[in-house]
Amino acid sequence: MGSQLTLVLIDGTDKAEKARELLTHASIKFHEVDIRHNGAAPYLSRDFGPGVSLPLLVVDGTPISGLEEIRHFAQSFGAGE
Amino acid sequence: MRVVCTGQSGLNKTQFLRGVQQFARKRGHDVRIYDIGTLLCEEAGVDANAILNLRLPHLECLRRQVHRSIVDDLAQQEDEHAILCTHAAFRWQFGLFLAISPEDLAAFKPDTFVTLIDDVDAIKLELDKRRQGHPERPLLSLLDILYWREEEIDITQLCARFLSSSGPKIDSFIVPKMHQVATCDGTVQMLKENTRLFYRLMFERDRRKRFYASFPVSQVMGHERIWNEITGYRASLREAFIVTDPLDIAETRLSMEYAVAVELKQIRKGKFTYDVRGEPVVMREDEVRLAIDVIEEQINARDFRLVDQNEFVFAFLPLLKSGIPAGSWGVNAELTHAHDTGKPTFILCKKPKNLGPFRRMATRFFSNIEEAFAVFKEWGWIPEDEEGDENNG
Repeated sequence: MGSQLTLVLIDGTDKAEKARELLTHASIKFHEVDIRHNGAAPYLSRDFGPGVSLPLLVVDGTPISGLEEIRHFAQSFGAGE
Repeated sequence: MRVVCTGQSGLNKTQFLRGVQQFARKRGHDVRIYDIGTLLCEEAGVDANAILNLRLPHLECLRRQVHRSIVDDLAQQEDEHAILCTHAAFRWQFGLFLAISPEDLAAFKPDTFVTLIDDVDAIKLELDKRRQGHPERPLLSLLDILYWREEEIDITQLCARFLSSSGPKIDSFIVPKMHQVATCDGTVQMLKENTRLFYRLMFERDRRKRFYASFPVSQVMGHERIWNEITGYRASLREAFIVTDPLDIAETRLSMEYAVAVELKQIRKGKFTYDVRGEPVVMREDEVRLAIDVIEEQINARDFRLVDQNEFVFAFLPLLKSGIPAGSWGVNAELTHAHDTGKPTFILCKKPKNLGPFRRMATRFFSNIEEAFAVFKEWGWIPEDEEGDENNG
């Protein structure tokens, strides 16, 4: 069984597009969630803390917060392949 | 049973308690409601917008008179179930001042204290509505509302402890006014008053166990199957027990809505608008930024208090696609807090071994909800005469 990756974003923003691009380029499969249409979204900062920023990649429950961290994740994923 | 129900302005406490009264009547209990605010206005001959403008000694005198008449009235009743509806404190033009005194409450002889709470944005909306056409009412910021809510809780708990020191222990509970359930895609599935929870705290504490429901939320976002499993677990637990559900306070939505507004450049002239329970509310950006930090701070303290007021923590850790049980800092902290304060914890998880050595902190594991309920039934924890339908409330 593989890991469960969820990309949480605000659809239509440049950052969202960039995060998608980074993950797709590294051949990472992910599930996408628009924060404006999600039942858990109101509790996002409750679970991950106020420092959480979008886009957010949730890997098996662990948050990777913001474009820079997602970039590092995608790069390390590519390196490990 | 006699309950003192406190809570800040904007909750519409009396309306909520009328619902509890009706719910109780259907189950054979007549409950009298004494609304201190209404009784004070009647006694003083002024309306609700002016009562708090009276000088404090005058107000205290009136309050004492009102409390005396309540005690006299109760002495003449055959059925003694009553709820005293009051603020613990007021925030008005002159700042903060107490709205209750231990002496008055002692004469009422309460069995239980309850503090109602609700999302800060919902309170803000209601208070702003009340202020329309009444500029004499204070304009309360989100921070004022957040702090006032804590003051209500603290003063109420202090009164409960004070009265307990000279008699049997009197419990004090925090009750979210609304029960909130959303579908995986964010559609509001249920937004109803926690009438049944209040009723059960009042009348059924001797026959129903009290649980704190602990479960991951954001970690499972977007995964409909898991989300539905969590929703089912929350509903099953609520049906049978007295359950505190941390998702009944959803005000971190403010942080999310603000982040979205910033990202989409929707902040105009330092203000942004968003929907609170279907109604638009305009907020000042500087006010929101300050409030967001306080909301975060209050979650910790409040969730631990909610754990403390229950007998057990029942955590649900659904399995992710990878086979790893979904957890969260929140769930871990709540389980640890319960463990460290000597509270039994139950964990619902299909693969408990995947939780590692710390799983030993749990009192018992169940692989599914049916197994848990079969065991609870065996222990005599499930009342036989289930009324079942939450919609009755």
